[in-house]
Amino acid sequence: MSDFEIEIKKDFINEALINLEEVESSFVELESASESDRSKILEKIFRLAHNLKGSSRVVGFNDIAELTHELESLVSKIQKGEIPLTSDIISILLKSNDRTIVMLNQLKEDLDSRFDNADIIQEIKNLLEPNEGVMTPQETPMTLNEKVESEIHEMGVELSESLIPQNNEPETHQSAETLESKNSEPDLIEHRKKEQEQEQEQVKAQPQEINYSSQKNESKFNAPIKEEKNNKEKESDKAKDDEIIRVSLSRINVLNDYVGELIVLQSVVQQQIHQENKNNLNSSIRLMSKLSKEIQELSMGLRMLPVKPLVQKLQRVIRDTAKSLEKEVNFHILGENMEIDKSVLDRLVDPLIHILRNAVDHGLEKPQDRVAVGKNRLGQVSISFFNQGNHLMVEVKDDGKGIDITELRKKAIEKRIIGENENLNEKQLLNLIFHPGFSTKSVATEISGRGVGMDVVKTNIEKAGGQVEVTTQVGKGTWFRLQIPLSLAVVDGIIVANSLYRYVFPLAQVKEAVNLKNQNTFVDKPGLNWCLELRGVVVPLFSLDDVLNIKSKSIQNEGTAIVISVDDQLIAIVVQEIVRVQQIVIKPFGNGIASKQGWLGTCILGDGQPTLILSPIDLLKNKITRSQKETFMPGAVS
Amino acid sequence: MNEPIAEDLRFMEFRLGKQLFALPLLTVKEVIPKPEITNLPNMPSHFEGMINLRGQILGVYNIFKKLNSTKDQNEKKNEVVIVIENQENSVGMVVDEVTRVLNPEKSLINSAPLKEDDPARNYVTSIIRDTNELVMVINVYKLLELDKYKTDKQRVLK
Repeated sequence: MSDFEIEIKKDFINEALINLEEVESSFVELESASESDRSKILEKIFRLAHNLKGSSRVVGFNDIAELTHELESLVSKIQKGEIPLTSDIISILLKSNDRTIVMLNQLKEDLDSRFDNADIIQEIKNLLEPNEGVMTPQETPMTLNEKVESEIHEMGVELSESLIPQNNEPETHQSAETLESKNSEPDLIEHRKKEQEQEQEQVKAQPQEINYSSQKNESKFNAPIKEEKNNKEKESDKAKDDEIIRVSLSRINVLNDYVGELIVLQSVVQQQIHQENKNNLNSSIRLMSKLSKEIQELSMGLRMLPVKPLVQKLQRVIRDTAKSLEKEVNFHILGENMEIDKSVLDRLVDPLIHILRNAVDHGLEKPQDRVAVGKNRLGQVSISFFNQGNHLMVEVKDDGKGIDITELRKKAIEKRIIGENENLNEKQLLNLIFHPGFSTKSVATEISGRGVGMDVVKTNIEKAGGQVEVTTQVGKGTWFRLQIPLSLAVVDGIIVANSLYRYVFPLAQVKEAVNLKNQNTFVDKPGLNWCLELRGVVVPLFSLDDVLNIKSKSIQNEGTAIVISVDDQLIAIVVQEIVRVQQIVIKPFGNGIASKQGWLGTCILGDGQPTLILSPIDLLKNKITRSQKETFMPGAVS
Repeated sequence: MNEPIAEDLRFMEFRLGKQLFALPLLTVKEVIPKPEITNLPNMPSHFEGMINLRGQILGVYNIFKKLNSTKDQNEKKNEVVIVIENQENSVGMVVDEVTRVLNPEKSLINSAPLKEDDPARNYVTSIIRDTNELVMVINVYKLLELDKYKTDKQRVLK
């Protein structure tokens, strides 16, 4: 395979994946859309199938072409009203969509992959068959086939134009072929011309529509190129295949302007150093720091992606789950035009899928049950994205039956997650749903019940430095609230010092800092060693030196307790002093330094010294489970 | 990146205590005066800490113990850090002094006469006979077990 061939194939795959992602939500929309919207959506899907068919054949992916061809015929029949649009058909459309994505992702790995789609094609054909007889006389199977043939060639031209504008060779080649095929069947030319005109109209209409959707959220510029679904494979593949995101040119231009300004300013500063009067220098340095801050913000902005593609995936999850459980769901989305950091976005995918699945599966009742308790038979699930301070908030609400806490407690005791006599408050009980292996379902189904999902939610969100909160009301519904720092690379940090070194804690984890000098601490309490009474709550204390296994002089009764909350229990880590609070840029491990439990990364402080960033929550996690096992409930907040 | 080429017979010679060692010149990225090193808790004893090299954070190793050299306490001031290229990773190691670049005749490079069970067999690749000195050539990657510390770059930023 020549380099050029490989290039167009890869381009095709990336283009196709973006297109598929854009269209995916349309399938789901079809179900609820009004009659007039429906035809618009169908047109969109038709165009996609048509595009894919043509271009995949040109680049030589015949398996995709074959499937999309059948898909195209199916959609066109639906458009003409020859086949009624049922949810079975939508399922088939979705299935083909999935299959195409799978094929594309596999092709990405190996350009020579072959696929067997006979099952889906047969399914589609079965749908097409019964209506064969109703077909209009001029559209005999023969002409249909030939029409398709010619379209492929036409599409070939379109494809090469869109993919490789700088190279004319395959384009002319394809056009020649098109001409040839036209000449050989002169009687069909008129018929085709008409179609070509129609198609041109469609093509004209296309950019407008894309503009319309992109006006809202610039998704055109920022849509991620790769499918999240492929995440796991990707991770193993990271070394050879870097991730790609699209960035709007205007952002890069602004960035360039700022960098230019910074360089000018730098030479200005160089001159001013030698001047007697330092006032100018001072103001230049101020300007410089302002500029570098702007540049930093902009460069972080390059990583921002809209949440829309994620939302589309979620829509799909809701639909599939509801369908297989025979529930009826109305899914509301708020704030889909938000932009969030790519790393955060990636981490959100799995947790949100789990939460939404659970909302539909465990939360919502069956339609008849809903009616019986006087609710609308259509279950409501909503998701909203918004910013709060330095955090991204995601809220998922459902109006289902809520979580029955007494039931939860019973199950937890049954599964030996908690002891029979353990006294937990409502919040702690509710948090048991995040416990690995916990499920209120007695039988695991395809959708949920294995007790893994919610554990994943919590771990993923905490890995991203965030927190999960859940509230529920029996009969009214459940409410999940995810709080995630907007960006993972720059965080507010609190610089602390123990007897020897300085460390950084993320400020987001710190609940409060208590100076121990004026506090009553208790030493040598059995099972606790050292603790502090803070507004009526007993908080166990651990010295940072002990936690890190550093031998040092004891700092009891002096120093500062940094109070954090682990699973809703207060616990504190004692440091000698707090140096200051400042923004830090997290640098990942590497260069001969391996990560360890409780280590988040490294950073460079204002004086140029590198420092370790620690996660107190991870450092103290083991401590608290130990004291829990000793049947003591430290710091239970009542 | 800079895989030592078979024909390249240049070595950087350095001193630990009183012993001389050498490593293939092309594995060395740069040599810097020893900066202030930040200690890390719970690390193996031959790990010295981390340094800030122009905004990059590097792990620095102390190979005295590994190579059984006794450290001359008075000499601490002049220590240097040799920065070694390790794919996209770089690491540093503290040595007393970089003495010179050796460019020996091929015939002067011998395989190391080490005992079967000598742990040094893992990282001493050969010895160079010099006028009145024997210089051990070491394979730093094996000495520091660098493949254990694979890059972790995607962890935070992903």
